[in-house]
Amino acid sequence: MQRGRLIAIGALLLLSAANGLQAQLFKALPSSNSGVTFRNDITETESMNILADFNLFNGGGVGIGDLDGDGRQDIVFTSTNRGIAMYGNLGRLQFEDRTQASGLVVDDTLINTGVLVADITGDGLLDVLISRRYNPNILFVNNGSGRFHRDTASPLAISMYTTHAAQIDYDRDGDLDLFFVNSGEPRRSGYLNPGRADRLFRNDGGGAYADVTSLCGLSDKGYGLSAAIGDVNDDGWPDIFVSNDFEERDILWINQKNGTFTNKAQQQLPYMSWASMGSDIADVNGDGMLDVVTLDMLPRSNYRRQTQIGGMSIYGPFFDSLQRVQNCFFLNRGNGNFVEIGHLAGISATDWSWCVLAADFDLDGGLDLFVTNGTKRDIGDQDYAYNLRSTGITSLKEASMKMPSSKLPNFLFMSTGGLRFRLASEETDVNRPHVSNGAAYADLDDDGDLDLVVNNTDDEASLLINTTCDGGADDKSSRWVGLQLSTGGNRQGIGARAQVHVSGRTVVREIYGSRGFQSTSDTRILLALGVGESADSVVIDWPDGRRTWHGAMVPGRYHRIEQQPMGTPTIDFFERAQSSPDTSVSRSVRPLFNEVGDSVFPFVHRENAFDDFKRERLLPYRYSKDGPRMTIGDVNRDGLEDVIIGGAKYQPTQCFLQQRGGTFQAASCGLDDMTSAEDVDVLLFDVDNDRDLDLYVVTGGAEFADGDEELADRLYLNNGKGQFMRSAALPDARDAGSCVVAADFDNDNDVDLFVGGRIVPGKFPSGARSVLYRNDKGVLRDVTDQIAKGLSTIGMTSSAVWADIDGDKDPDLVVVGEWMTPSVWRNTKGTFENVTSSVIPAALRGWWQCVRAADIDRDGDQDLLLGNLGLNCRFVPEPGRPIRCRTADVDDNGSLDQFITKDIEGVEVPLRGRQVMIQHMPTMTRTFTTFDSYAKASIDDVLAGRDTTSMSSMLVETFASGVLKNSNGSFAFQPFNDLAQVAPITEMLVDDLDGDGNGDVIIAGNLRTADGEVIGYDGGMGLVLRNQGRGVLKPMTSKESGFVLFGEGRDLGIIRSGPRRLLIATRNSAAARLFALPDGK
Amino acid sequence: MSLLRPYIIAAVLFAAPLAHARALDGAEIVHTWNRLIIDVIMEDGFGPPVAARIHSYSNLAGYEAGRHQTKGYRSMSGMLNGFSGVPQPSADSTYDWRVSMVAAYQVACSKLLYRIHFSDSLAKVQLAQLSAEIAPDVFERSKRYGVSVGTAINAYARADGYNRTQGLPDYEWPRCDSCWIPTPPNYARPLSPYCGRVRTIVLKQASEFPVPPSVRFSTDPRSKFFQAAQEVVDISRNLTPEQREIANFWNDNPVVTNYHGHFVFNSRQISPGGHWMNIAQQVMVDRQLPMVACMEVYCNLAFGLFDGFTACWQEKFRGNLIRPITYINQHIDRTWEPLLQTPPFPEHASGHSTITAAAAEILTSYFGDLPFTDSTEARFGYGVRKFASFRAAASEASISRLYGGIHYRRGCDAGAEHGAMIGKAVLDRVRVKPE
Repeated sequence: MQRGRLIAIGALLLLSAANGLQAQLFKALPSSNSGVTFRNDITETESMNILADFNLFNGGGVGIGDLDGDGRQDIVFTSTNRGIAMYGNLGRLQFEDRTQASGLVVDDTLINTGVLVADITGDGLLDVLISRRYNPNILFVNNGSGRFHRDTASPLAISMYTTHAAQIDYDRDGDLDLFFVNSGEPRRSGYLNPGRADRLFRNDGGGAYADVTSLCGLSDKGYGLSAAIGDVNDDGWPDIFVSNDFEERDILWINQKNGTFTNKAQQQLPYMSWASMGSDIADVNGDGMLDVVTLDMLPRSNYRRQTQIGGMSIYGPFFDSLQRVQNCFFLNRGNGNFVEIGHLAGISATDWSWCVLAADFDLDGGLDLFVTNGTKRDIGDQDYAYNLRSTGITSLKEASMKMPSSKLPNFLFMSTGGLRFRLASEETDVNRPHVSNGAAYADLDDDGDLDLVVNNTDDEASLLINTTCDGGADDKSSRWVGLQLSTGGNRQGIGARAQVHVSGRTVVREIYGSRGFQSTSDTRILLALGVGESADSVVIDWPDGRRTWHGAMVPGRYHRIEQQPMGTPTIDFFERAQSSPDTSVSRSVRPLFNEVGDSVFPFVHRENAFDDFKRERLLPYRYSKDGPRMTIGDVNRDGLEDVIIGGAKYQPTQCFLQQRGGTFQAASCGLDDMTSAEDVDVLLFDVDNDRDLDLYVVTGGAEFADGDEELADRLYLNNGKGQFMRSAALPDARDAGSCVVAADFDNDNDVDLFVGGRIVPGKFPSGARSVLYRNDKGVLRDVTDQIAKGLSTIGMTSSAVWADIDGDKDPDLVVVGEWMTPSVWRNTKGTFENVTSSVIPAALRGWWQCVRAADIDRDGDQDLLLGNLGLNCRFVPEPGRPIRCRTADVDDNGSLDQFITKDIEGVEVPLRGRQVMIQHMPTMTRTFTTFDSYAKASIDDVLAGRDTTSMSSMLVETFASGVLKNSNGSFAFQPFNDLAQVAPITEMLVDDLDGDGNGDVIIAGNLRTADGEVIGYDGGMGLVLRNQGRGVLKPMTSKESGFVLFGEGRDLGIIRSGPRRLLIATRNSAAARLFALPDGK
Repeated sequence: MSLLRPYIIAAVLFAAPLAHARALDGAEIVHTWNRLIIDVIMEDGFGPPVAARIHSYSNLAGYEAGRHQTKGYRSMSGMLNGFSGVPQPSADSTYDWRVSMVAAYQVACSKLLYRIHFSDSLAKVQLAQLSAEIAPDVFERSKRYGVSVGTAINAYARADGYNRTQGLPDYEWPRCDSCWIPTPPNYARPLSPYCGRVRTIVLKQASEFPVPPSVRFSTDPRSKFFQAAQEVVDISRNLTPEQREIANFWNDNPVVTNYHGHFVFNSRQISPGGHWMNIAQQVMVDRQLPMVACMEVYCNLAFGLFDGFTACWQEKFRGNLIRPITYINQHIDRTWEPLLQTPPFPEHASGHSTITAAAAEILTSYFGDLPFTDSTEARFGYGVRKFASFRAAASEASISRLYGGIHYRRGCDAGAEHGAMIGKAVLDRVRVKPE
């Protein structure tokens, strides 16, 4: 089933790629042809300017709907303060201005925001609701035959700082309620000012609405710019995603099915956009689960990124570790748990963005994304912001009104079948520069493809006509099916979910009109059919909870499906899992793991507060947040496996002794003698061959000075009863370490160790000493330089593994680290040779976090699983365009200066911004007096005239995680599936979870250690890769695996506990999570 | 895009037409340099302590290179901490001291300022004018001498430890009930936290004079501290128009961040030290003081500012006292906002009060209790104010911080007492003219 579906999509995409040289997808239709001459001109005055109203340039919206009942989609525009306009659709892409004739007249100069075209009164006719920021909203009621009157008595016609409204049947009573997303006071000065609450109005029939905001638990305040509605957790009840501007967090209101909502954003999203603007909900990647896209203001080009205000750094006044300056693409992995893949998808940076619409524009079966952007004044220009001087209010206004305007192209991202999108706007008229705000899609000419209507500031509105069904060689005019749903008074079928079976795949759509930003799109469903495909059946889940089935649909036209009041077979959603004929979408999945409550395993990691960037401002990442890692073994010899977890600075390394009955009791076990150290790795092993488990503790962290006693690793001997005593049988080496791994490398029947060196504190990028300890009758001796030349200075290691790489039955050593190639050391009778260059492929320098060995393809040799930073990052090295680090004290003030660079558009440029650069090196201001000059500078320009004689240089070539497959002792690299590239992989555990004999891979990850602007690489939530045989690793959804690990996963371990096995997952600065594994193994 | 640049360009170009009319006046050269330095400091965005350092070393360079113009002025060598070995001119050669002075100013500015294209172009314009007036060999010799003095001053400046403070880790402020924490609306990290560690120029050390202590901290509503905060609230709620005007006139916050939604911009203003350098200039221009005398006043005033800030900063970061806005928002009124934006460093004592008192002592010793008109703030939209004396101006500047809601009364008074001691010490120890 699943495989068939993938092939179908593949074939469809191949088809469109073959025809990629066709005429452009979108053609702008000039107003002289269309008759649509609407413009949103914003004239600044003494009382109307960006100082008086910080939302002034938010622009207008677009409302689509059949307002006159002729079956054609008409258009309503809102302007900022020049009223609204209505254009009647005459067919064949001809429109006439019917503003006056329809009575849709707003003749004041107050500020308008969104437009909702919807049946507000419940009479089956589309009404028009105009949102206003500072004044009462306006409801135009449809009298029939295209005439409207203004209902000033409506309970909706009140003032509440509204940006936009959306229909939602939140109580599933069959009528549509209204959610208002609201902003706040114009004053926003950095003092306490949290905005306004959004409001929910319950439809009580006959145009009567009651404010149920507080009843529903929705009174969180914010500066709301959009709300997207959809059932994200597949429980049949609509949920709400609210995008809030500024520091106020976005909200994921999960419908509790009892008339109330609970905000689950912190539990179900890894993070969110900072100044969130427009948004859309749809099943973007076609896996049957609804995804969410939100917009922010991250510029796309290096120049604009360097010259525009970044918006937020970790040192900003309102910094929130859960917010990022970027568009967010929340990919639903099941039950409404989202990973964020904006950078990986290639859609994270679209500058000052307003409206996002997810729809299949080219009818290839995959949803594409359209994004509008621009602002009338470049108010983010840093040269402007940092040098503007007040000479009195009048001239400041003048100045703000003379700022330049950046007209930027809008963006069109085309689906490529996977998680990555292709920027295609340059091939179309979408690329014409405008300041664009609200937008809506609609099949304006009913030809089966979606056209775009865009509201532009200071310009005519754009009508972008989709040419997909316009005939020609790539004619798709009969390869689509349209659905128009209707139920009772809900003539647009708002809230219905359709599952359409198209030749073996299933397409899921939910109908909501209010989408993007301040706009209402076409509410009809439009589906692409590949060659030879047909829409075999349609399953509709109606908002009232009933379900209907419909047979095959004739392609090339719209079908009207009406829910019959009675007589149709209906099944309530609660039962749909059992009775649904469809197995791919709504089947109930019994997850592989079941999460066990926190009480069983009472460990919470507490990382000490330390900011590496206050010592070294230009570091690319912190290294003070390693750990916690654990080691498992029967410490007290009671026959039960126990756990020891390393503590951060000020937290002791602790035992968790397993009790009969499967609980764990915390105990010090004598390990709390050095709590001021940062213990980054722990290992139970028998150092003295007395048949109890002794403990090795690796200390690390960045919060110490080189040579501090806290940096000395510690060896503890077990007294046989689970009490540990510090042993002196270990050299007093004070290096910040990363990991310890054990093996009998000299084949003398005792356990020897490798301890990885991490970093010399305060001296990035100097790696600390890595060491091989030979066990001489219980005494550990550093024999590194005698038996493994060069290993001690291998670099900033993070992880290592012993594995018999060459099949000669002795353990070889593999070491990975940041800025390193995975390093392989072949063991020959107890001496080691670095054979990396002969067995590891080129171009594999990465920011490796983890290495594990397993025979993943079951061919009899050890393969290597490698965890890297992942591909969901703001900057990713590409072939021939590495990320480099150049280091020297170029300003001779005693501190090292690190320059992280990348080749962007053919020039090696510094990635860090001017602000942090001059903060670290103030004299840089002398060379780069403006942001403009810095943004244009190459790294050579930055270093010109500086003392670079002592400069060192490193580079990194890939951030992809993957498998090094062993073939006769040499390796080939296979990157993991993109779903495993969403976040850094800090730990992998191989275990045959499904009992098919193939080792499956459990992944933990996420790092919140990135620099002050990138903040974190933490869009993931852990993952299980199911090994389908021969090493083919397939990502499981979290619904299937039951494995959800938000936060910074650091270690994984499996422990036997009575009849069951438990998976323990540790996290930095958070509680450990516990999962019960499937029985039977 | 900046509104500031035209002022600097005007300052640079202003020199040219003047010179055509008559020989370039030495005092006018000195004033032009000081105007330019004030403006570039604003453009570069230096905080007040660093600004005072720039005023000090640039004028020291100018003085040492140009003092020979008037017989009897001694070198400051031996009078300032760690300052000796200034290059001497050759006794049997002819110099034009204006040329030496311009060259010295330029060389010093090249290491002190960031936007040095402004200082470079001013030097270029002035030197072009001067080279037309005098013999080429004299010009070259004079310029070389000026460069050597400027280079020596740069070495002296570099040794004060300021550069090393730039390589230190970011300052981590202590946490406690009475402790300063970042303040709204920027919540900026503390400005120049290590400035108290920089070598003083005249004072034996930053802590030479004790700063009178603040009121004992307490959160008890009956306590003196609570009442001191309550006084800030009461005054801010009952500000007279004149008090408001005074607060704004002496605001002198070099960088005020304005928030209008996503439109965030900085307003630049003269720093407290720059304000007093400008007052001195207005008086000296008015009284037509000659070139070397002008530089003597500029130097001593700048030393007073520099040591005033250094000593004050040392105490600010020793005591780490909470700002009124934090205390008031925590204990009195959650929504209270001061008239002025609170600058990002601890409260006690008021830096403006400190340097203002020092400046008033120094200017009074040169000019007596002189009534004067201060138009420094006119270009920032805060009008012109008249004062009966420098000390009267200083006392108004000091209390303005209370009106502005950014200091307790005790912080203003303590700063003023401290500053007066510093001003007297400078006058006492830097004596370049025989009595």
